[in-house]
Amino acid sequence: MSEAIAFYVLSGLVLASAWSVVRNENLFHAGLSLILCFVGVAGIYVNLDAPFLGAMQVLIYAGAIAVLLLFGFMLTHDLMNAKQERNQHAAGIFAAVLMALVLIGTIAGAQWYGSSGQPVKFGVESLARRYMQQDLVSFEVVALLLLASLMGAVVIARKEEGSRD
Amino acid sequence: MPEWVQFSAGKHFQDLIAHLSGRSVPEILVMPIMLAVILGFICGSSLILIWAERKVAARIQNRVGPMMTGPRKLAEFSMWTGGLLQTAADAIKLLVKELIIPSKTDPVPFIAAPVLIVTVCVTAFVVIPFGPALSVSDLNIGVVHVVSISSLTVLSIVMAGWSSNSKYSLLGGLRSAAQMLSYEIPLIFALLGPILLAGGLSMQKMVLAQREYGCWFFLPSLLGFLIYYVASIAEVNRPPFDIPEAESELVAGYVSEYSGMMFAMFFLAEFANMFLVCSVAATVFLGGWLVPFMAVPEQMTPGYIALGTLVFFAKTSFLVFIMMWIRWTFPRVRPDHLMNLGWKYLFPLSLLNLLICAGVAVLKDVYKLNGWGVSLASLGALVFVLLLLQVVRVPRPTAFLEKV
Amino acid sequence: MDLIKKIPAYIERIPNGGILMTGLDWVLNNAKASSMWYMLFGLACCAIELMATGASRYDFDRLGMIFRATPRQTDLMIVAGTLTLKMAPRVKLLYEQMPDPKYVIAMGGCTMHGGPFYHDSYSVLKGVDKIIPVDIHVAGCPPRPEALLNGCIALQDLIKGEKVGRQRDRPGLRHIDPSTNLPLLVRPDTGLIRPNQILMPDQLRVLS
Repeated sequence: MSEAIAFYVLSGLVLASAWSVVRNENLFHAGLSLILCFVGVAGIYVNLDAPFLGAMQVLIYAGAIAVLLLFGFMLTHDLMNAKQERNQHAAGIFAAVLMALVLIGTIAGAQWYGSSGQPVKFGVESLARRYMQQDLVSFEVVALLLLASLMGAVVIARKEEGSRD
Repeated sequence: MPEWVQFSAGKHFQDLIAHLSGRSVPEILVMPIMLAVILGFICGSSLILIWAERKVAARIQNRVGPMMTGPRKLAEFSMWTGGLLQTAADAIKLLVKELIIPSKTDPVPFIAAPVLIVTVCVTAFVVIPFGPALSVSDLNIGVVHVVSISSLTVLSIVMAGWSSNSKYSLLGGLRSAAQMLSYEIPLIFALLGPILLAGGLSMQKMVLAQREYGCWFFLPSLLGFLIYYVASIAEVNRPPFDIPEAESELVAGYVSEYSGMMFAMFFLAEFANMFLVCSVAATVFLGGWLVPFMAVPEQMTPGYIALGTLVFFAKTSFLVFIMMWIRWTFPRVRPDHLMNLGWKYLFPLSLLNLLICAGVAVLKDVYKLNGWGVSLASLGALVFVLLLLQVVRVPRPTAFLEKV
Repeated sequence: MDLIKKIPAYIERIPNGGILMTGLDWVLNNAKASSMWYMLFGLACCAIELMATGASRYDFDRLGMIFRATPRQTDLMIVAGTLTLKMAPRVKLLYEQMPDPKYVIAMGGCTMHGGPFYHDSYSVLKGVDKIIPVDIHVAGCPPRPEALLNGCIALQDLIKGEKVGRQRDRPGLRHIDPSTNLPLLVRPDTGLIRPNQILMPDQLRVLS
């Protein structure tokens, strides 16, 4: 019962803040709403007995990525009056409707395997086993990909030799 | 894990109420009360810490510090008993001060920022084991919980800096965001070593694993301890890393426009955060409530609980004292120096620490080495690698200070 | 908000309510007097003495006084040094940025009546109490740290006499002469003196 209440409250929070991200004219307020949205999603994870995922959501998305976003906003010119441009209504609605259709189709067409068994008790061990034994190859491939993108970023950001001032 | 560890202060309280009233209490009623207890604890500890900071500062600068506020008879006795009520007076004064919200601020983030920073602090304290079976709730993701929640502190600083609509505040917020990028990753990687040794994330499990190893984790993971300590000083924005609130260049950084109680909340959070990072360091690296040279009894006794709590506070206070000592001794570093330090030195060294800890875990599990053997092996490996680095001529750790 | 301000007066009418208010007064006044955070700024040579007072030999911190760099967190403004006409608007702005309750100590002769610049200077404000209300004047050129500490203790005594809910007797500004728009020095014995008027030797004796 209390889990259901928590779910609805958190979902409302996530939806409202997501709406605010899109509709808020003030860029900084939109960024703050985005963080609220991330924290709400983290709350849903915790509610679903996945506290590790929730903590990671807070750490990486709300704590690091969103702060980077705000950092970017603060470097903009005339920041107290920074406005979001909203001249892409048609494209936005088109993308949203398309996304909704895909999601509805997927969810309606999926086969839901219910089980009467107890849920797996969460442990970091099981997560570690999954990453380090079962899905080791794909995990390493993703790591390699990230490394490649990191090096790409370094190459792009680096100044040419001799142009140092 | 022994059964008594499962008990937390929240559970104790729930049982007590159930025992007194004869019916069970839902957890949702207990949690607010426990949070209020934490808030009270934070306020109380900050009252003491601020007084202590001023006294330590005074001693280092050859002064006597606050003497006139508090019992005069005690003040005549020695400088360490003078001005006992100083912080209480400061708190009452800040309470009755006028609260100014400048007209050009953005009011919602401006008011939300101090609230957020205190909330984050209270939430992070939930998992700290103050003694055997004395944490509010021993979450099984303990360490990650503390790290992830306290990463939101930066958010509050950025909010305060931006919404104040003043250039000094804005620069403070910007610097804080930049600083966070450089300390956060070494901080987490330094904690990974002990997590690897303990084989779990729960704070109580960390302490019990140190009992099992027979040595506190600062020995097998010395590098990790030092890196965590340095990075946590940067996390709580204290000198030499007080770049976001640098008094000599940014007035008061992100708190420039805050007055009265809202400033007091930032002040409170600074000291509570300092206590928080030190208690995490004491738990993860210095054995938490484990009493040195004394075995943990199989059956928990109230005497051991009291002794363990005392030992925990002694270890934390020691670390806090070192932080104060550092604060009043070192000058501020420049932002780009901090970036250099974080990314070029602390981060690779924390990876090295992780490697050494993995080796130590293998030695413990496969070769059944005891605590001393494990510590010696890891220290030996550390010295070997550092010597190797000298031989292959990588830049010296202080080179970043010379290259301006 | 007016109702809230009247509450202490109402409580005093309740039998024994005065005792309650006295206790509250005592706590609040002692708290305010024991934690006067002063603003970190100095204008001239008096600031050197101000720094000396904050340093280890005299140690402001004994009285619970620490400096804050931002006016938003300060209670006390120590105007230390010659206040030039160019700097005066800034000082007034800083004073207005401080949250209530706020106090001012004017340190040194320049801040009282222009000091050595009293006669011939075109650029010095002859007394900071023309622009901000001053609670305590500390005489000297510059005053020694002991004098400044004495002034701070005098201010503490002043604060301890305040009452909750009653407006403090704020020291006023100096009178402005409406005809010339120049400030007038009001002295009970010699009457009005214009600051730029040439003084006779007997009048000088009164001033010094």
